[in-house]
Amino acid sequence: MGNRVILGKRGNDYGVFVSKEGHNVLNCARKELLFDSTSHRSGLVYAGAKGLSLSTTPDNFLTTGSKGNLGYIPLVVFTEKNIGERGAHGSGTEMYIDNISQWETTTSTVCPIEAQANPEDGTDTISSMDHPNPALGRTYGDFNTAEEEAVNCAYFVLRIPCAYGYMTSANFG
Amino acid sequence: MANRVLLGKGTSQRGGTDKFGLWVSKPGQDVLTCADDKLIFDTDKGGSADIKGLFQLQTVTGTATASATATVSAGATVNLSFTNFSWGFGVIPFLGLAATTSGDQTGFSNGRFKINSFSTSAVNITNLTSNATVAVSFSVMPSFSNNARF
Repeated sequence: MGNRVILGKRGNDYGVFVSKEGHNVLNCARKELLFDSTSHRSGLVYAGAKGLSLSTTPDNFLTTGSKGNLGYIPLVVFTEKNIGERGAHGSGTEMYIDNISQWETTTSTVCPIEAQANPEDGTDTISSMDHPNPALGRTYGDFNTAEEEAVNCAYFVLRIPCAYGYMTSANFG
Repeated sequence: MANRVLLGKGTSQRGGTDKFGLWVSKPGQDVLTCADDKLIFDTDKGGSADIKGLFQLQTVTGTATASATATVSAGATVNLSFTNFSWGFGVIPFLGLAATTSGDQTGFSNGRFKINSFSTSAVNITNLTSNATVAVSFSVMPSFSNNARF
């Protein structure tokens, strides 16, 4: 059985190191470590939920336990019933999305969303970047509701910043 | 050099001297006094607003691999079985389209599917594509609570 835990020196580094099963923590590659204290962030789960059915109302992940706002938009990992591509032909239209499981995250909420890309309406141009923002909820016109709805959703809010403006040395240094 | 590892009695910033645990701060941060957000390992204070666990995916094959890949025939509904870890609060399965490599290009497989249900030892999925096999990768997390939110 390999050495699994170091509290002290590993190579030229000092800290806490835990390796995966079957890997010697003394000399294994960093990718084989379960925990590495030379990292600046780890997957600490700050909040989460499971078994939710969500529509257009954002779910506030700070309310349970009255959690404090982290001060940044965090990385949130999702899973739900509907995953992967969706596509449909309508009357004169064709709709396609490469992953139906799209989400909006804020500093306090998560919400399923649908893309809003419709260049055929004559008002959107690539140069002006004036496509509307994604809309809350999922009600694509040509998709089967049962194959787009956000049900049996689970998510984990990690104490890791993940948004424009927050990927800074103050948060990762 | 900052104190990086605290193993044993806590400090006031770590919940009080009546708390015991293991805390590890980010490089450059003093584990004795830094804010909670500067910790990369946190056995917390046991409060309702504290860390609930680590995001660590569990093998579903009983081997040392972190995930498994399965293929599901066009239009088929199947059970993908995995080890029952007997976690008290059950499991949360994570499934995605498997990675595929062609030449020097690697990307996600095409496909669409839905998760119909899951138990502590299997997940039931349907391939929504009528004419193509879908390749999915999957792993599981322990659920941290019986409550819907935690």
